[in-house]
Amino acid sequence: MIAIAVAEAVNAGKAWLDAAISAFHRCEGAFSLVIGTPDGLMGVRDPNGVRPLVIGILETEAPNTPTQYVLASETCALDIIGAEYLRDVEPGELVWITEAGLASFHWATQPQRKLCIFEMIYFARPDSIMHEESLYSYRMRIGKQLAIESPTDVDLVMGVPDSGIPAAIGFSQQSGIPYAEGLIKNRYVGRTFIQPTQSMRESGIRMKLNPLKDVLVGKRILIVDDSLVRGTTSRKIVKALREAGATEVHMRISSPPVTHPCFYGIDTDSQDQLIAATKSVEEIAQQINVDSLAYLSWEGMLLATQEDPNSFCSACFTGDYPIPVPEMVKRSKLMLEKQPASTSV
Amino acid sequence: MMPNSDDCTTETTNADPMDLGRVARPDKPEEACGVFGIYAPSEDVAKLTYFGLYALQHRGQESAGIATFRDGEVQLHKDMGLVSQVFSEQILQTLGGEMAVGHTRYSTTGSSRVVNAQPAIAKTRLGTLALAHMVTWSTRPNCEKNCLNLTFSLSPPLTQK
Repeated sequence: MIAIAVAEAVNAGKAWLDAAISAFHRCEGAFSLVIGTPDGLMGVRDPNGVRPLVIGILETEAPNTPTQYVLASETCALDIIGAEYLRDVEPGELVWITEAGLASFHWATQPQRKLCIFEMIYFARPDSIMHEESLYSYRMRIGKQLAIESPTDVDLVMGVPDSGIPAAIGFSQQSGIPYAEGLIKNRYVGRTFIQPTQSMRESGIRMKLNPLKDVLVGKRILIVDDSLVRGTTSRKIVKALREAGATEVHMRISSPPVTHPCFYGIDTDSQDQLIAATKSVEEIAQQINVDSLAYLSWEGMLLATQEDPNSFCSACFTGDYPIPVPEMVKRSKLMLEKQPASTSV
Repeated sequence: MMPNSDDCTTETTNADPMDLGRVARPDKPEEACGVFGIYAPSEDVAKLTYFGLYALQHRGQESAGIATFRDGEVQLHKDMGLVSQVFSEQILQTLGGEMAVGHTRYSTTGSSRVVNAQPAIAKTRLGTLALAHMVTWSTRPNCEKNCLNLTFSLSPPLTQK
């Protein structure tokens, strides 16, 4: 672990910063980290900046207090304690926070921006700021893009709570089809995507989402979700909507098909468990029992960022890993042959 | 071909330089996590870190931990569970200082153990460090050669200039 590597370098005679930087040069992969030492606080992002890390300032009225800094994975953690967002830690940057202030070191030889696009689509909170806007705004735009790419004639648009909701609102605004809530989430349990076992995922859904029968009965529904990784949750949601009286259930996914596992920090399981890696969109539509299914295009996803499309890692959709993945690590997730994916039926 | 991963966990540096129980090697690549750090001498850094982690709970719901620094001395509390389950007012009162780091962790089955909770603590000649990270694969100590397993790869250390 990095802690051991840093400690080793310190014990070999280096000072904190030299020790940390030499340890980072030995690290492969994606990492964002925070290190506390008796002499100061360090914040670091890997040379590709795959995972986010932000800097905030916490104002104080206490006299003779040095500038108070906060580091966090997302800006929502600054908001909650009343800290002001200052800036992102840059890819390949180390910030060193002490009584004397904040010092910046660009330690990587070839830094580049490869922010995980899945952070923007799903993983980070919608109230977190990336590229100077909330992720809610980005997710609304990908919903609009989805409506442009894959329109359909239905009575109501709804989102899978909570992460599908911003895109569903965007879809509704773009298409003019009314938005409604048809599934109420028990917000006091965790999200299905991040529970540890398949069996827990299977059993978790009923605890979490309760359909609103009077909203759904007799209606043609279009439901938007942020991603479709394994398909098990979607199948249960569709079943619940039909049982509640929906006459048609169409699904739209506000990201492209996830065909490749993530090696940079998000658990998307091994490739054989990714439904889009082994099945066509038609087969997936059949399996989850929807009347139609369409994914957002890869181009549409990047276009909606309004940023340089090369500044994102989208390897889970393409298999183009910006940081080389060691063969044995790859094998741990059972890589299949690379294959192109279509995005709709 | 595949090296025995046990080769890489032996302790070969200075006598007990780190708490290997706490920084044990995970079984699988680690997953997206939430990290938080604060330098705020005028504040209750433990409590602010708690609320920071509370806001980052979506990034990891398996374990949570906070390490605080007071004049170089580190206090640590971490355990399995949600941030709100791991910490109480009482526990937060035992933590304090001018600086803190915190972590929320998610992992897959097999490494759902408190030994994998963070922050990780390592003792050095310059004092203790506490590290909270989100990382996929990374370096390992004392495994300069032939050390590549399912979790980690290693490039040789840079020669000292």
